[in-house]
Amino acid sequence: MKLRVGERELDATLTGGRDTGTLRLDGEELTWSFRVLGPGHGLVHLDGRDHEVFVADGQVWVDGRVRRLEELVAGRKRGGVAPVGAGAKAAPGTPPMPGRVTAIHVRVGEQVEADQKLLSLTAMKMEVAVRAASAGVVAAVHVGVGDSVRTGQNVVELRADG
Amino acid sequence: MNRPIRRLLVANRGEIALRVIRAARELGISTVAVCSALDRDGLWCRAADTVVELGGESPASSYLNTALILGAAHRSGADSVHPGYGFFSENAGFAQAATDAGLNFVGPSPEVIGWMGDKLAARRIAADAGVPILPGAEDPGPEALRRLGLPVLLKAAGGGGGRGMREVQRAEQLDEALAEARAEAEAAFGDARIYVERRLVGARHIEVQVLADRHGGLLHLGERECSIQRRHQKLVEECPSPVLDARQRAAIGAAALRLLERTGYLGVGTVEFLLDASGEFYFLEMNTRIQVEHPVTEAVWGVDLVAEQLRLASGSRLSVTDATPRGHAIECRIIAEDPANHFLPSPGRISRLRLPSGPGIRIDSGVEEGSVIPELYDPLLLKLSAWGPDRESARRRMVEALRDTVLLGPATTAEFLRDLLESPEFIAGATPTTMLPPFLAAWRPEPHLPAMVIGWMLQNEAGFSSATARGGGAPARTGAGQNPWTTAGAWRMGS
Repeated sequence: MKLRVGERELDATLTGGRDTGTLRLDGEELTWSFRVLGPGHGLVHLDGRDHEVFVADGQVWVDGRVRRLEELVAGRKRGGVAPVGAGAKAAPGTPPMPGRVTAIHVRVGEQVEADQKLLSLTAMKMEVAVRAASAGVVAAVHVGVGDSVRTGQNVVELRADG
Repeated sequence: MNRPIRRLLVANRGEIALRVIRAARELGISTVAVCSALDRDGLWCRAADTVVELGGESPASSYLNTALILGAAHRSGADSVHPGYGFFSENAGFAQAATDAGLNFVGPSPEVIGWMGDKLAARRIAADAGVPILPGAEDPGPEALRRLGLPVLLKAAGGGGGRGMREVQRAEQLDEALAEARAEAEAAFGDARIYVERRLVGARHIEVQVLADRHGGLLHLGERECSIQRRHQKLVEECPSPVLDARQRAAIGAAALRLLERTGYLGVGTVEFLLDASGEFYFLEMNTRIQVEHPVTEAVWGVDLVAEQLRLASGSRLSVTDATPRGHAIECRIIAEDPANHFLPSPGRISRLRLPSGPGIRIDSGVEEGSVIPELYDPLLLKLSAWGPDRESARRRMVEALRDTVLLGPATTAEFLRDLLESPEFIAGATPTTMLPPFLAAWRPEPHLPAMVIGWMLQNEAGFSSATARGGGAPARTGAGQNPWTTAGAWRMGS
């Protein structure tokens, strides 16, 4: 299976029983054993060391570090749901964080330059602009002032220049 | 002027609301919590004797609405109001309205709040009191830049917190920076006045904890160092500063008390200074409230600042007069922001939470597992502080506490701060206010990927029934098994 962790892509194959087996990770083979401590909570034994692991909603905690793991199917994320929380990164031209729309700076039919401010968001006392990923013509604006938006949501559609 | 507090309304949310409610309960004061429509499940609501829901979701229709809060105080029979930090804590208008409504506002007089809230007025008062101020000008024109030299910092007269603040490195940047700063200050404070100060490079942020009673009693409890900041907001604080010597400590403490005396201050407060590389210090501003980072002073000085604040507001004399510092304390702010993504806010539901414990570890948390962190308020989730007999022991305890902290859901600062505290710069105490950007740029955290992948794959096994879930060729595992995470209910892998 192809996995993505942040910017990295990994090739992972897990084999074995329910409490011991091997992991092939990018060609390297590792023997593991596993013990359940509770729901979404266990102990992975690897290389002579125990690692406490918590897993919830696609995120994994090991040794004080948290990552979001995603399965890549044909190079794309499974399900295509916008990522949230630790490790989430949004595509250019979409909200980099969840928040509320405070202003919309463009109108349908308007010509915009790459990096031009499309709309402004606020969350947790911080203001952030969503900027155009490329030059184009605004084909649709899917949100209004006061709307909540998710990271990576399709908020403004651009059509490439004539 | 004794005026005992019997029923206290806490006009705030999150960890500070809980902190104040606990202190009040210890003193035998009955408590009233308030909450917005999004905060009904807040921890602090359960800790109080009574809860009043303020109605709306936005700050303007809840925690920043004078009429709603005073109405809640009236209905619940509160005789006093504690503003916490943020929201109405440094709002002279609110303090005046509360006083006019017959409430005891826990803090200095509205007049003093007003003076210190106007950063230009505060600068003048500090100068009059003989407190060193940075070279600066009230009119940030080209003339001022020539006189001060570059770089300079543009600052908003109307308030702090990094709003309306811009650094100017080259003269030609002035016009644009000034326009931006004015717009931001107008939006944040309704006050577009901008002034300019010399930008000290390599300086440290040092602040003095002060207390004053109604009877002329004044006291300072040493300093905190809060130089590690992002967007001019603090991330790590420690007490004492790793660089101040006894002579400087006495001088900066005396300067802070001169300002207190000059203003006729009441209650707890913090006087903030910049310390330059040559050891000179300059007044920055005064915060007329309890600070987020008060736990480090409490740990080292053995004083409950919030309880003392309540006693002072009720007219008591300072109960602390001969406190002596012991050891060292460090606080880390666990904030719902993603350091790997420009510290952007990361609201959402906390799907998993396990907090650390151990000798010298203190937790001030406003959240629990299952809490949904709204995007409408401040992103501070909880504060970890560690005390040790010396700086290095406190640092090691904090590193272990950060490693033990499990928080899934929103991205947080925990992992980043742990790596920061393990950096040679932090270990050496070399932490000027400019430390963070280069550290962040070079930050390459190394998670244990094999353990993560194993945990993630085992957990997801039950849900991944298609053949593609195994990837990389033939199905790897044969035979039926059970999802080892739940053990309940057999599952069969799609082979």
